Amino acid sequence: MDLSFTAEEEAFRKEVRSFIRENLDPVTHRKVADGRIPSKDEIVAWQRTLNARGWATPSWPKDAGGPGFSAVERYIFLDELHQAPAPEPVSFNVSMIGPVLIQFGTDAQKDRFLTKTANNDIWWAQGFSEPNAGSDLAALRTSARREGDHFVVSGHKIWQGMAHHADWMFTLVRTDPSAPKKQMGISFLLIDLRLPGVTIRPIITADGRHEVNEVFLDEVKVPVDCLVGEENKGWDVTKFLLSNERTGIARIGMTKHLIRRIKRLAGDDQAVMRKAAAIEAELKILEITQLRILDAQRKMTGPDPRSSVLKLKGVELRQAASELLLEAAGGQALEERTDEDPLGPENEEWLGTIMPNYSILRAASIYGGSSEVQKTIVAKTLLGLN
Amino acid sequence: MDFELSDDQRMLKDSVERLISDRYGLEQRLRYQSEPCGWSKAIWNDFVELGLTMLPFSEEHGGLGLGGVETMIVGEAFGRGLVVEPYLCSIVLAGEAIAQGGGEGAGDLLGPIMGGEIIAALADRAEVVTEGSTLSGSATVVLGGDTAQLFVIPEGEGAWLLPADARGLAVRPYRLHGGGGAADLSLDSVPLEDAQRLADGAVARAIECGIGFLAAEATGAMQAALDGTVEYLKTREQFGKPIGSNQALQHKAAEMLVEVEQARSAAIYAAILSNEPDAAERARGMAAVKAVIGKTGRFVAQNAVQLHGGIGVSEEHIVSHYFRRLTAIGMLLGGTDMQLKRLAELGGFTGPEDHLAA
Repeated sequence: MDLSFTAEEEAFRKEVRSFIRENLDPVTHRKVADGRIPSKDEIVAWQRTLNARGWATPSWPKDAGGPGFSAVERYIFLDELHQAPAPEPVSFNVSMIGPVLIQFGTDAQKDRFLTKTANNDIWWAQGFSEPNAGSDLAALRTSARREGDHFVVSGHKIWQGMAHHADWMFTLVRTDPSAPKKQMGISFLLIDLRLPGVTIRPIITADGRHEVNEVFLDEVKVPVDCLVGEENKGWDVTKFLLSNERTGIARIGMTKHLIRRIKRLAGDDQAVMRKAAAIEAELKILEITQLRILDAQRKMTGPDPRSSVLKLKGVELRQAASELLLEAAGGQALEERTDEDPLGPENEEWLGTIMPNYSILRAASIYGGSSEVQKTIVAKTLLGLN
Repeated sequence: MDFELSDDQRMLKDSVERLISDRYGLEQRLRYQSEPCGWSKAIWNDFVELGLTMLPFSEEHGGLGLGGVETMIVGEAFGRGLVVEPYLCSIVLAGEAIAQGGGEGAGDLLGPIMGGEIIAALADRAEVVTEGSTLSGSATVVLGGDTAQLFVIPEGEGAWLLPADARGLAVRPYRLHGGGGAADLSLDSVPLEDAQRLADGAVARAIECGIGFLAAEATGAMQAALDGTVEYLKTREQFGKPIGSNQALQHKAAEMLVEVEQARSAAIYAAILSNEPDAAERARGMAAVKAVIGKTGRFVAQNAVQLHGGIGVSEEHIVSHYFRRLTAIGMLLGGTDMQLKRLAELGGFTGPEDHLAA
């Protein structure tokens, strides 16, 4: 047994860190370090900087235009971004639709979308959830009926992260309402958000920000060449998407950044430092769990239900750290500020995001498979309880 | 990076696990505990014959020269079997202190310990002072002290080796909840003229080895408690169906699995840390390991009992024994709060500095 990275892997870590140090715009860096959400332009600029280096799409294979990272390199790369901290490559583009198009897309679809997706010339939104289809995603009702060489799509999608930045949306629609199982009549469609009949409406979340949206689709005519995979086989594509790319799901590097901020604020407050140590102890051990699963995954193919373990514990610790950061900041953190407020002095912790981020991080145990869904997966697949 | 066992390590694992499953059922364990010394000399001899008592010591000391991973393998199997023989105290703690600090005479001192003829114990909770050439003070909960013939008494950064029958040394032996025995020592002007001194740092190193062993033992006990619980959930029926079909219980079992995986990672981390040359890195790591073991052990133990229902608190069911041993493990060699205090004092793993500055 051996925990250490190879000399090449260590060198790669250094290379990534230097690249971030030298190429990440200082304002973007300050914003992410403060816990603010960078602007669309800042996120796109960073994505293009990464893309110019060949690193914008860490999980894509070489022949699809990706860097062809090993599982360990992918882990190191994301860990450095999380710790720096720098914006992650836009996950809707890079972790979700990109791998789907690589796996299921036609050659025409790959040619049309992949390069632009990597460079963020197209920003993608995810159109999965609906008001009555959350954890039970297959209960979705948005309908698409075939008319000549179009699908005519109508329905109501919800929780579209950053859809107000987006150009296109990958969407689940019901194409066969009479299918014997609800999973069987679903198709995976790409929808140009500029088409007539698309309305995007903001949802303001508990952090006061506009990050998520509702998308209303009213008789939107979507060309049939925007179907990914076979008609009525969209659930297979969805399962692939949801199980794909779980590297870094524990977000350990992000929690480490929160720990750094806690320690800057805590000074010599021993009570806070003791609580920070409790989080750090578990986080250090979670890092070992992450590496163990990474080591096992690189020797297997397909989804690994132990990713649920990483998500459960990773979210628990990240939420605990955000809560402790709030405690360390104290009452001053209650003053309402916005991400648009001017940047403060270089060495002063920005308190304006601490309460909003604590609030919105409660969603981390809800999205991407809620903690309850993860526990059910663990119980059924790893413990055989039915 | 590699988390696989080597072929030799797998063979060791197979043979230790076979020994435990053949010879260490719950009823056998109760019989061993009812022997006069509280453990089985026959089993102890099996451990000696299998080479387990020689395992961590260098070949120049007459040992097998194996390391943290092999010790972890033994610890995990012992945890599953709830082994009560004095392996932790005599081999891992006192033995390691002698190996680390005994200088040229270490091999001679270790001979009878490896041979199983002498049981040694390390007084990790000792408060003693030297007065002239004598030692006075006390030590509490000295693991294995009830049957030890040789004591390692830490004083300053080093330690003294004293025979149990040393003049001025009084031993009050007792049994421990969770299995095994211990003793309180009182030292009243114990003469040190003939006592061997162990070098500075040896005890700290031995305690780190002890934490690693406890982490492995806890992992074995937790995994066994989880396995037994899941089996029970699948077979116990109430309201006409297996209780494991209830989501509330499924989720509790899933939470237990998450903590068992964390415990396993802690044990692996400790095994690998035992080769870490940087003392500060080892100290931080071992504090985290012990803290996590304490926390996960409590969680798994309490919920294993809860999911078993009434039978879980009965003496005749093994889950109540796992519960007690895991509780004890959390408290030995420094409890969770102490470890977290220490980790905080050592600055934790992540400083306040900007990541990109490093």
